[in-house]
Amino acid sequence: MDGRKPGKASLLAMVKTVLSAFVGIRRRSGHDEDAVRLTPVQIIVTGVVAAAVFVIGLILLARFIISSAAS
Amino acid sequence: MSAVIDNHAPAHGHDSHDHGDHHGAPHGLMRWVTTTNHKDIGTMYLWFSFIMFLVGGVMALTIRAELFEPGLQIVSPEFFNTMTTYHGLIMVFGAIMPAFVGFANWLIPLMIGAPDMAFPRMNNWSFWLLPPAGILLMSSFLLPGGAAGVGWTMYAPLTSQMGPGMDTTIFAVHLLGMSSIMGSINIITTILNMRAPGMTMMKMPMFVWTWLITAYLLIAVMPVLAGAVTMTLTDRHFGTSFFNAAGGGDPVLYQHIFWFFGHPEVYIIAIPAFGVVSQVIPAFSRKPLFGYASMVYATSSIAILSFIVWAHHMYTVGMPVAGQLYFMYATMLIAVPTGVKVFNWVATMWKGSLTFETPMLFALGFLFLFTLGGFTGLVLSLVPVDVQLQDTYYVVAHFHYVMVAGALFSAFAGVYFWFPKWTGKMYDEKLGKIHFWLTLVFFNMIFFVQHFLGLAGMPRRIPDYNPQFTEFNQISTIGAFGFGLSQLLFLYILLKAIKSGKPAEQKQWDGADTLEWTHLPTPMPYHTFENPPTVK
Ligand SMILES: [Cu+2]
Repeated sequence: MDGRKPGKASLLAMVKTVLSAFVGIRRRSGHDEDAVRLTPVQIIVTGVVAAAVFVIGLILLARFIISSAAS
Repeated sequence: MSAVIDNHAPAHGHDSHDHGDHHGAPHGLMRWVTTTNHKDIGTMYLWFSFIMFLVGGVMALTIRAELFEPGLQIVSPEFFNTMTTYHGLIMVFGAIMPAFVGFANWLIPLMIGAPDMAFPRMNNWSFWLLPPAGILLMSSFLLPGGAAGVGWTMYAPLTSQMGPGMDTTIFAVHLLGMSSIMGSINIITTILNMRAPGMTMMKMPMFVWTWLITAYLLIAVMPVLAGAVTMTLTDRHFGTSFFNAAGGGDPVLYQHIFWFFGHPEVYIIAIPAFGVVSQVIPAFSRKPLFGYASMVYATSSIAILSFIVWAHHMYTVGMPVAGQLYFMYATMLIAVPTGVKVFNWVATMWKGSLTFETPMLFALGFLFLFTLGGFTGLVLSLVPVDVQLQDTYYVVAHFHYVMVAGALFSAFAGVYFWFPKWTGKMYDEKLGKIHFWLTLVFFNMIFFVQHFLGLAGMPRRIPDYNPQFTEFNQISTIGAFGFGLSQLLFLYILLKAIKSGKPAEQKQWDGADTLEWTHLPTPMPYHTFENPPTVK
């Protein structure tokens, strides 16, 4: 798209990028690495998956709290 | 790029326009009707939104005048309901959103070094859908049964009981949605395809980034709103029962659909406001924006996460406790990336050489008061608290801190900031500062006391109230009229500057570093960047 090399990042690096984006904190060096290694498509897909995991995690947490309160 | 140049050539029949201003804007009324120039269209958006801001403001003053004392004095309860409804609709869809689209039109091509928007004729059409929509909205007051007093959220089943004023409102929302979607397509295409050589995505000014993200949000949720009001329309006239329990439908479904649009809508308004502030604060701190890359990522995540919290507007409608807990946790957690932005702006100012001209004052006002609105939002995200405060003035106070102190203050900051560039004239700095302080004081006078009213249990959207609430309501009403008058001062400042303002410099603010300040003369030629600049 804008001259970046196709992605060669590990899954871990992608997850790290997306999670730091969710929190909103990222070191500049970390970002510079991402810009070289990650493609936008990779980031978007990881982001949507991470959001889904986030939702499922919260639903499970809510259910767990309800069930432990009932007993 | 070539498509754009093709579009440009036949639009004005001069054979050479290699640079600059040797042919300026066309004259007369048709200039504005037929224009495809992003600057003209941006100007029209901004004036349109200012006019709607005054119209919606008069409605707000009607509300506040009625609430000056308990009992019914000035308007009937039915008319009061229409005032709250159309005040909300006009301010959200007619004032704030078009204002930021106006900024987008003016600034995106300049900031990325493009000659115009990608689809200049569609741009014209996007704007010219707005006046008919505004007229349609206002015409509902003239129809039998009057305008629809259903609240700006247009909840079923109230919407099925209204007269034809409801239908004109629905069609107006359709038009506004079409305009937003076309505007967004234009913005996305422009940003992705028309950047000057060297202007990589991560070099774009923050304002451009915020609009790229907002445009995607708009394309995602405006069809949802259009669907919701269309279902309302077919329920009213074509025998469907989407929201009609008697026919097997469910009125709560409407609320889910509406808020699936409605929560991202908050970010559609807030994110471009963040963008403006992210240009203004660095300029007056004479430092680059702190954590630019984080801001880009965090803004994108806020956009994605804004889709998973909508039912925090519906805690009291009836949902399983597990549902309430989920939406509570999700809402509280997505406050984190927004909070980080506030720290980023503060860190931008840290050890900067600060000056406090009017745009900076409004940006700082934004920072303080938007943060306060964010905190009350966090308070309301707690289910047990919200069950108490739902539909009280606490909620009214909360979202006005977000919408007025957030979006409107940011828009003011943007207008003062870019006005010298847009017009080539400088506004009266002293009057601008007076406008800021009046706006700040009266704003808090209106809305700070409403927190107390809400905590004490005063319900919203009711023309009458218990006498114990009188004092705070009177403070609020006086503040509202002061606020309204202060905005006439704003109009005066603008007109005075246009008529007799001192010539502005090319780089009126020495800390401003985007292309429109560094590469373009003041006053700006009618056509800019016909040859793209090279960005290092
Ligand atoms: Cu919300």
